[in-house]
Amino acid sequence: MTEWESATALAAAVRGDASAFAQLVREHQTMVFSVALHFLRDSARAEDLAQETFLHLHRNLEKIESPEHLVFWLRKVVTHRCIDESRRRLRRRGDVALDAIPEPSTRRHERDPFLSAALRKMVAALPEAQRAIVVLRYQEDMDPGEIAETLDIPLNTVKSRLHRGLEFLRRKMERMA
Amino acid sequence: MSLLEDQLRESLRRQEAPDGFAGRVMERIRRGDAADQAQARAVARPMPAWRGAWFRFAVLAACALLVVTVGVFQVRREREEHRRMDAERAFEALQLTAGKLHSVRARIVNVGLARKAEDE
Repeated sequence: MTEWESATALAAAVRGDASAFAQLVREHQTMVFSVALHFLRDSARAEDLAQETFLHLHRNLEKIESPEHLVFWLRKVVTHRCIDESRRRLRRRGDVALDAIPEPSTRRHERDPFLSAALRKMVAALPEAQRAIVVLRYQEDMDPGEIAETLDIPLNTVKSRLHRGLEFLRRKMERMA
Repeated sequence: MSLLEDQLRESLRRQEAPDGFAGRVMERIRRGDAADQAQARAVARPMPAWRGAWFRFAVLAACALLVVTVGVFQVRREREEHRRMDAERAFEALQLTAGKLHSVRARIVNVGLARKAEDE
């Protein structure tokens, strides 16, 4: 989808065109679903949360100013919802045993599926705030400044949490090796 | 650290949303819109006055005011009655006293007249 097509679809969706909104959903569903999946490591919950993010978007379409703002808004909402959902789950069930979380089916094009699965498990073991930053940094390839803006936290906090998160993952990897 | 970062990029690559995802979102939006419209209709229908909290409060306040008014009226009437009875009792006592004083005066006059007649 070109930028012009995105802008046209967004304008039409704001006017109430359902098919234009569906087009926006199809354009961004992979990003939103992947953030939720990498955060929650539960495909069904990730889909539910991604759907709710788009429902929320539908109710707030008039606030979206441009296709870039739409991407920013979706990343922000889905990440905050993931953090909230993750905290709710922890409160409901106590600490989640990592081995109890089902691993999503192996993906195509992975060079080392075992290593990837292990890494995803380790990412899921990070505290919510660090996990959100790691997912946005390495799934969405966002720089710390963009992450700070998306999560509405200071840049130095992003950097320190990212550093701590990577340190944790590195130590885990070394132990696993 | 860069090897770890490469591995993270590899592991956290975007994954396709399940088939039919957009359709399910649109279905939920349609259902949500219908529910919203039903809710809007429910909100638009004016609520009967007697179901309003203010109306109930006003009724309660009116009842309380009525009870207080009747109570005050009753207390005043009883006080008035007591005062009237006290006045009647006092009047009767005064009448009795006046009668007795009158008879005492009559006796004194009689005794005086009798002594005067004896002296003469």
